[in-house]
Amino acid sequence: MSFTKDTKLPSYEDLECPVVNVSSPALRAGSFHLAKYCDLQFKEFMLCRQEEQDPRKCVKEGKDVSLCAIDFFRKVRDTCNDTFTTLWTCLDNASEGEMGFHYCKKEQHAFEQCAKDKMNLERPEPGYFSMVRMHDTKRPVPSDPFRAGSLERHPPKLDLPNPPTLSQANEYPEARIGMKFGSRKPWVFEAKLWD
Amino acid sequence: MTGFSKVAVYRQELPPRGGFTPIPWTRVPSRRIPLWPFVSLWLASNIFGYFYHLSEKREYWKNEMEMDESRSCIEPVLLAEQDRITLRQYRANRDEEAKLMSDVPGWEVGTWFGSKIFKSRTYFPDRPHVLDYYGLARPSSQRLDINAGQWQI
Repeated sequence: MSFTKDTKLPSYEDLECPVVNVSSPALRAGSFHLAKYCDLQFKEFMLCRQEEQDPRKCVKEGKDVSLCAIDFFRKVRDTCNDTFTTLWTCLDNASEGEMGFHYCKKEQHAFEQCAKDKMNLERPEPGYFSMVRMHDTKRPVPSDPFRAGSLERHPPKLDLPNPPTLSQANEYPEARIGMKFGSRKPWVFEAKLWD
Repeated sequence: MTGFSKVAVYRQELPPRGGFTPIPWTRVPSRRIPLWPFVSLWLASNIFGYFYHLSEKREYWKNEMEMDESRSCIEPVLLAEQDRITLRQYRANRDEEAKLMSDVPGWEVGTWFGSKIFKSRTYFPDRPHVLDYYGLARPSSQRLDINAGQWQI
């Protein structure tokens, strides 16, 4: 309702993308290996989404994500279909309706083994996906002071040298000059280190 | 002398042969059961149960973490698809509004008779607002979508 004629919305052709036609227990069954396989695309998309906070600017990355997910499930269907199917049917039938992995440990180990052998995909250790992960992109940081990830809001920190310690004073007499006022202002460098 | 020919026959209550049995008058302490088996069993169950409880807690939180991690692994796929759906819906809503209000004089699409919502800067929401998404929909569509929101993945 708040979108005027001037706001740029992507057209229907720009938003055309094949749908990841996979049910939710199958998504959960292959989630760890999927995140390992499509790591770059996922991180790129989530970083773009977090920095720009605008879905229009991340349509291309989103398409990469969907295509990579489709590619992964196609690969699974070609190589490891049996173990994967047993795993997600087991998860679907897990009690309480929550697709918890502790009901399907055997099938999970079978699928992991198959993925390791045939698809050469190892599942990272538990706890890997809870940790903060770094990502390097070529996309520049958005500079819009009203957006959360912009350069104006997060200016880069300057690299300052560490002040000299007491033990260094014996080795480098130059450091003593900077400490002539005691350790009250150890960050003050008044030394003339060389001519 | 007169009428005392029959003697009344009675039975006298006497102590039994050999006398009465002796009355127990000494102190008889009550039956007691030892306390140490119960206390030791309780202490052993406490100690064993503490370590077992710790291991069960660890296992429980491991399973919880696994479920949360799988959810965050899947999130980019779902978010990308949802973004595309919302962008399509925004475009459809704008076109529909233009079609509806084409005959109303003074109405500009996305404004209230010309006055914009955001005056100085343009703003694009990263999360869809209820009105942006369901503004021109029939009332039942929001109720039907609540069902989809209940699904766990």
